[in-house]
Amino acid sequence: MATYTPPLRDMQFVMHEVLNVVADFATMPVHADMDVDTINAVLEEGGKFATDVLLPINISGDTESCKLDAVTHEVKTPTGYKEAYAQYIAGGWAALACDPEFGGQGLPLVVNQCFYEMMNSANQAWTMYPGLTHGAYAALHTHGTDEQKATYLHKMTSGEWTGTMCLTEPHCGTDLGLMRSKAEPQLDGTYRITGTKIFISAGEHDLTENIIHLVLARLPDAPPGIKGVSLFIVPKFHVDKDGSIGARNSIFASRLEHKMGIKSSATAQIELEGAVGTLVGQPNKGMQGMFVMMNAARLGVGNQSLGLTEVAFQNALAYAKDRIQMRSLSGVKAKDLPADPIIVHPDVRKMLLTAKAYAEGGRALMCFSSMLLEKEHYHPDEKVRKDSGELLAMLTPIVKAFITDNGHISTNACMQVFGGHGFIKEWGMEQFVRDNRINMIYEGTNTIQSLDLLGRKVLGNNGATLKKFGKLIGALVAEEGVNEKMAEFITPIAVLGDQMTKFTTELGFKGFQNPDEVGAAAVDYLRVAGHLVFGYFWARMAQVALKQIAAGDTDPFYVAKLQTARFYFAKLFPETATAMRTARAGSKVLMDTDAALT
Amino acid sequence: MSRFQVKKVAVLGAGVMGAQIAAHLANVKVPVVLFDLPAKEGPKSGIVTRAIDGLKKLKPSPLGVAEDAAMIQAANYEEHLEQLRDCDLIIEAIAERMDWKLDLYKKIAPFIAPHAIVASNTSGLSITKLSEVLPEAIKPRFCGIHFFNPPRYMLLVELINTPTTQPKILDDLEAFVTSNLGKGVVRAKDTPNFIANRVGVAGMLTTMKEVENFGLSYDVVDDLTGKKLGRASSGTFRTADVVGLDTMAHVIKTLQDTLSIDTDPFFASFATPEVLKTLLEMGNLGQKAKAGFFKKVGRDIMRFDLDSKEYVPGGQKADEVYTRMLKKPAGERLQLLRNSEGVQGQFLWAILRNAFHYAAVHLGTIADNARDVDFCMRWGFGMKQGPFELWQEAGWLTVANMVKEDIDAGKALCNAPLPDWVFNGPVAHAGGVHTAAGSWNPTTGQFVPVRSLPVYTRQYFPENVLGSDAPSAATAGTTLHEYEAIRLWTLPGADADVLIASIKTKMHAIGPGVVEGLVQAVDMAEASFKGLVIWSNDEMFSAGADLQAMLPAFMVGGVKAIDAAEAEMQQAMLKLRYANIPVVSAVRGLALGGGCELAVYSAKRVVAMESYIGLVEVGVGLVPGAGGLTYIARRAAENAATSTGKDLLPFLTEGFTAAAMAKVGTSALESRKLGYLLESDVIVPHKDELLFVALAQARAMFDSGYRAPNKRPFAVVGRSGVATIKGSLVNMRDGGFISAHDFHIASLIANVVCGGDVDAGSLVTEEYLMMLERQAFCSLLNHPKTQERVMGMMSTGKPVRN
Repeated sequence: MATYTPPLRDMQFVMHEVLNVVADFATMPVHADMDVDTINAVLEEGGKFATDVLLPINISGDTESCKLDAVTHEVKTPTGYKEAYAQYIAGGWAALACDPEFGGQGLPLVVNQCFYEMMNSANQAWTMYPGLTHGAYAALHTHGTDEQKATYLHKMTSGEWTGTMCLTEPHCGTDLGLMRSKAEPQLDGTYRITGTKIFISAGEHDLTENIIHLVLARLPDAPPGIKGVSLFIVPKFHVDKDGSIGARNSIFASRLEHKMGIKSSATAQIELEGAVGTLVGQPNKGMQGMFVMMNAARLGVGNQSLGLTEVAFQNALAYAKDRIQMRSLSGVKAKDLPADPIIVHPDVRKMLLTAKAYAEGGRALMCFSSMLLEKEHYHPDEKVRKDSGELLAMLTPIVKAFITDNGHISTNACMQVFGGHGFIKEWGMEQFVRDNRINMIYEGTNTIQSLDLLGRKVLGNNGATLKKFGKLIGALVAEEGVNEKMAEFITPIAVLGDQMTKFTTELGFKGFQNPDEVGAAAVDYLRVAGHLVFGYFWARMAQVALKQIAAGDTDPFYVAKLQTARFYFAKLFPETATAMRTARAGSKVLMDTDAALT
Repeated sequence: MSRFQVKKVAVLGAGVMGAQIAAHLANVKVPVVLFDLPAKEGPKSGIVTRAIDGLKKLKPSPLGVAEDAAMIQAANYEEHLEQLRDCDLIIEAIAERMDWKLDLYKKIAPFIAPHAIVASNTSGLSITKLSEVLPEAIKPRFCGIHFFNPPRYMLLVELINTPTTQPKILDDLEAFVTSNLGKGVVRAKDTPNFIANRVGVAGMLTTMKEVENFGLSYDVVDDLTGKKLGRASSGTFRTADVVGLDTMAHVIKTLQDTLSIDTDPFFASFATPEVLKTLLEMGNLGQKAKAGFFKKVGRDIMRFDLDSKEYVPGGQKADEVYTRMLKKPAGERLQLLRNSEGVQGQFLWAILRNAFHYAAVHLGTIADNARDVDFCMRWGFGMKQGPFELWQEAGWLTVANMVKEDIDAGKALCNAPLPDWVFNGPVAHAGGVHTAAGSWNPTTGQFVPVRSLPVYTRQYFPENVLGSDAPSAATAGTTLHEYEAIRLWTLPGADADVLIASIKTKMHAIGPGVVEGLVQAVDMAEASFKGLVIWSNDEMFSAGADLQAMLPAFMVGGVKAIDAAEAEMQQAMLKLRYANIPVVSAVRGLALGGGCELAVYSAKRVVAMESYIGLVEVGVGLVPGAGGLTYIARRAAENAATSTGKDLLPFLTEGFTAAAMAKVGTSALESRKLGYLLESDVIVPHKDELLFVALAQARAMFDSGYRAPNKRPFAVVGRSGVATIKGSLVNMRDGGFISAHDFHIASLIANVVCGGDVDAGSLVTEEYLMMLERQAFCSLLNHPKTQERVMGMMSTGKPVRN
């Protein structure tokens, strides 16, 4: 069975030493008195919850998976899931970062995100149940009426009720404009919704007494396509005026999917048979509300892969130190053992460091993004709110696609470290690979993310947002550019930053002439942009480590950080050269291939 | 007082320098006779005629236009000495042998006109010693005139007097060399190698010594000591390769022969470097031998490795961290380099420290003042800043103490202390050697102002050193309007009657801001001034339309957006041309594409000798779109109208070819040959006299009753012309000389300059042709091959051939 140690030291390093989040909180009235100790204490407890409660039921949950009763339409989650959820509620974990107005604890989003990272490491599939609730909570919090908020948000905050996002239908996934579910207005101002939704995570389960579905559907007079989609709240059970549970709504799970991974997460097909719902936001503007959920969810998906990358790394590292096999190429290392531990081998180290560098770089980006989200909503200065929102919009597809792709690379590498044992279920390594695989697909496939990045976020405003990130790099170069010790970290990002401008202009120009060029280059482009962002954070982390070492701090953590930074720039960052080259190879070799694709 | 006139010049010695000096005289329309020894075989002046022929092949070209080689008269000492009697100036530039020079002086003495100035271009010998053999009557008219190679391009000329040189002679010569030859004059003392070569060559030698000390490779050193350090882009070792290692060795030998440890405490560092000896022994003399410090093998640049005596792969660059250090403000920069832990940084500090040390120790003996040293290094060695300027900018006493510490610690090249004036007295008090009152002369203990010869009143914004508080052209005068892209202003006093427009954008690219500013300038000038002069105080008139700025509009609005922008530029050009006051373009350096169009739509052009004008749009797959082609068609019609022949086409061919092949004039003279300047335009040898002349021209035109040209239709050759031109283009394409896309672009150009699908002799308006221009421009912008060229240019800066 896999083991897990919450990476509290590294989280503290990123939050307090690299990003100095407390200084940011001081500028935001809602968090003005937030301090380092509070944050650390919460995460320490959160780490225990993940390790003690969620980790033990990860493999068993995967084996057992969920069961649907075809008659009652009820779903039974694996053994221990319900109990774990009860502990989750009892510990107040659901309310961590929610609005105090609805009973939340009002902690910063970055704390919640770190907590979620640990839950994802311990058990991604279980974490889906509370995770989805957060997206629904955010959509209602932003677009719901006062009455809707009063009715639902308290229980969603406490976690007593969970939420879902019902978008996908059998014939429409990525392209929601094709949606068919209908919403008929009723005289009492409610709507009766009919249709079939598939791939609904946490769509039905036995963890809570009620499930609050957010459902996209068309009004009778809706214009065709994406501009005719409205958002509705459809509870599993009606909620009476006094807040008590009422009658069963006609929304049912009709099937559970059999999946490659996250098997203990109930992925339901949902039938709405004239289910009663209320409208959220304006008619036909359902995507606005949904985008709030999707953006939160996309960040959440990146965080899932971050968790898997971390836990896979920890287990592979332990195994590589323990497993003895063959001798080092450069001579015997462990004389008193019959063979050397496999960590002596360069490529084993490369696999381990790949996961470590992607985990720690990903953590820095995740925390930075959470802080942007926080500032977008709670910073008193309007300009900071706007800038943070724009920068986050550009980083969101990178968080989603780059971190999940890296998770794929990392969990596979870590499984590889185990050799044949990695392929055996009881070690847990193959489950990390399987669980991660969906992260590259749902909430917009990674190709969709790359099109979003290049087409909308970058070229859509002629690179203006990209320049904002360029300014961050520029500031770091101005600060550390002449520090010889930092040169190995600064030069690569300064050079890539310059190349990026030309590269982007070139793709923009090509894309104007032939939009397929954008499609052909986007995935490569996202890899380059991802490394630019990771490179920036690795340089900042190296900067802190160097300062601490220079100041006489002997904590080996900083030496490790520096070594990992060097590994990252030497072995992972250069992927950018290949990616730019393949992007520049253009669309012709893809589009002139009709014969090859017959 | 009679004016010193130079009607004819004799240059003695048709070697590399003599011939090129003669060529430069031809460039500025000074009749010149070039002498050398009589040939033993064949025509007696054969040595000189061969040298003149050689000028046409030399790169970079010493001649503005190759055919001007014919303006140089060939002569030899046996047959033509009589001709010396007509010469007002005789420049001796024969081999650096004291005995040969003295023999020659004796031989020519009887033929020298009684008023003529005799000057030697020696770079190493004592001018005073040379003068001693001359008759007493000539001695007062004898001096040194030291040009730098290549003389057409290097700004510096050192003038050196002897104890017997008459001061007025030197003043007269300085005026001639400045205004007529366009050079920057520095007066040097008669000390070995004068100022520039003394400091410069010592700098190269000590740099080579530090390269050995720090164990750096030549490619890295060149990257560190080139543009990034504010020096010539060829750095240290490629410069040596270009100059020739034998020449280098010769200059070093002069230094070794004429100096000693008593006259120069740095003497021990002047030993010929081991690597130079080795390369000389191998016969690898640099570029001319195709091998030196570097050797080109196929596409790769290999560098010499002294240990193995082999060429190994080169092209290694400096660490970027030092590039970034070199971009910091001077004070911080020097601190960073000095405190650097890496060898590249330490090396840079060492060579800068050596330069400060050397310049300070020798200032009193080799130059009149510190400004002259800085000018010499800028004008003669292509440095952006001389040693004193950098020192002063970085903080005088701070740097002085840094240098002193190094000397005391034995890190400097010698233990000669910095002179006392560095630390005590006026310099220390003023924080540097350059002040508003002038630059430091350690001998007199004074700050010496710039020489005030009448010729310098023609330079409104002369070159100046940091710290001299000279007025900057960017802020001088009265600003009437200032925008991000352009400044509209006037000079005070007598010049306040002409409006000046100075473009401020990067490369002086013409975007919407510039166009609006120029339109406003014409309105203002028509209302209240005698004329409008378009001028900027740097090496760039305008590199053309701002493609980068157009790109966002194009990506959002497509061709339509660009069509409108083009139409606006065309309207602005017509506004300049038909303004009721004269618009004068003062051109210097690049005037490409839109910059060329701006110039040709002005009423007159005043052009610095070193100007490079052309319509280069074809390079990025476009056609001139701001009236350039319309100009070509109109000029052809105007020229044809003055001839008796009826056929218009021959008059069109040259202009068509220039645009279709993106030809750029390599000088003002060649730009005129291409048709971008008129005979009536004024070519100015000295860049800093440009504004003076342009203002005078504008005022004179206005005072002569300037009227805008009549707007009248003119004849075009029409479809038959298009067919004829296309016929020859087909041959070029089928012969593989031009690509299919070149053919397409050239056909579009032909269509515009011929007036499109009309009968021969049809009368058309400028507006009609401009519409054809826009159509061609916009259709190309949508063409994938053009887009490939634009993108290629933007991402690599090099034209794409497709």
